[in-house]
Amino acid sequence: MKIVVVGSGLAGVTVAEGLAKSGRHRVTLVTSETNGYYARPRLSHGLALDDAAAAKIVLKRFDALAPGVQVLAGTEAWLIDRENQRLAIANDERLDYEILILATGSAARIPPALLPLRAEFMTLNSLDDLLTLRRRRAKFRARGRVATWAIVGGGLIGCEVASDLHRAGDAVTIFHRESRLIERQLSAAQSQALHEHFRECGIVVLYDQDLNRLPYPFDGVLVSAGFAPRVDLAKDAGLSVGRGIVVNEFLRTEDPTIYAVGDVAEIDAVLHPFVVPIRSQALWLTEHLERRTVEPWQAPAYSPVMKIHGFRPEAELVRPLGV
Amino acid sequence: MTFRKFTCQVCGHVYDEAEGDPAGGIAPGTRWEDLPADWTCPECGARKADFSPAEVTA
Repeated sequence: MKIVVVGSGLAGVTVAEGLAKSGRHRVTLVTSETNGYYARPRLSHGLALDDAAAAKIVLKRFDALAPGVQVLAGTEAWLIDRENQRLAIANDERLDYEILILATGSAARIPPALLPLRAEFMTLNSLDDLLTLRRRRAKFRARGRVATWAIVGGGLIGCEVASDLHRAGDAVTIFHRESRLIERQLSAAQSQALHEHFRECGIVVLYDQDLNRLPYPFDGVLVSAGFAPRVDLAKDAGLSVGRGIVVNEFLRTEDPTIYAVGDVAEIDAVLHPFVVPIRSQALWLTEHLERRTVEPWQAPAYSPVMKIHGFRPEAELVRPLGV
Repeated sequence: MTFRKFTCQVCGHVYDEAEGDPAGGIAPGTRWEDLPADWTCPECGARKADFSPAEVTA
C-alpha cells in the first residue's frame, strides 16, 4: 500500500516505522520539522541541562529512522485532495496515498487576547523553541546577569518550565489565570503543596491573572497556556473536527482512507495527549492496518508524569477527560 | 557486581541500576527485574516494556 504519514512526533514516527517493517508498503513521512525525531516531554526541562545533554534530546536523525521510511523533512503538507487521494505538499508536489495518517500533534495554545502580541513572547512547544530559549538565557549569563522570566500559565507545563528555569538559576514569576496551580490534574491539597514548594524556592505565583497584555518588566515572557491540536489539514478537507480531528474507535475519520493518531485525534470527545496512550494508539494502528487485529483501540490506564525539581505529589495525578 | 542500564525507547531516558530512581522511591542498586511492574519512565511516563537494554557498566 501507499501510505503517507503527516507528522514526525511520537505518533507519526512510531506508526511509520511500524508499517515499514514488513517491507510491503511504501511509507512516506511528511514533516515540517528539520531537527529529527525527539520526544516532547523532554522539552519542559531542557533548560537546566548543559549543552551536551541538550544535544541528546534528538533521539534519531531523520536519515536514521527504520529502513523503508522515506522522510520529506522541512516540508509542509498543504491540502488533502480526498477525491483523488492525493496530498499536496510544498513546492507544488503531490503524493498519492491509499492510506493517509494524520499525526500532526498540537501547537501551543495562545490566549486570544495575546495573539496580537505574538512577536513579543515565546512558547515552548518544539525543539526550535527550546533552542531559542537556551540562546536567550546564554546571552544573559554571558553578561553575568540573572534573567527574569514571566511564565503566563500555571498548568502542568508552565509549572515544569518555571521549576526548570529556577533550577537553571533564573528568577521566575508565574501569572496564572486560575486560583490554584495545575487545577486540571492536581487536587486542591496537591496544588497547595506545590504552591508552598514554589514559595520556598523563591518562585513567585500570582493568581486570577487573566492577562490582556504582557507582564512587565521581565527579560522574557513565556506563554504556556495549553495546547491546540493542529486540525487545519483535516478541517480544510471537510472532515469533522472538534477540538481535535474526530475519529471513531478505529482512529478512522469519516473518510475510510484517512486516520488520525496522537494528540490530534479526538475519540468520543476525548483527547489523549500523553506518551502512554499516544504510543499505544500508534502501535495499535500499525496492527490494525496490517490486519493483525480487528479489535478497536482501547485507552490503556495511565497517569500523567509531572517533573518539578524537588517536588512529588502524594497521590497520582488525574488526567483531563473531556475536551 | 555489575549494574546494567536500560534506555527508554520513547524519550531516551536511561535507567541506571546503580542510581535507581530515588525521586520515584526506587533505591540505588535496584535491579531492573525488581522494579515494580507499574513503574514508569520518570521522564515521559512510558512503561517498563518500552525500555530496552543499553550498554553494560562495571
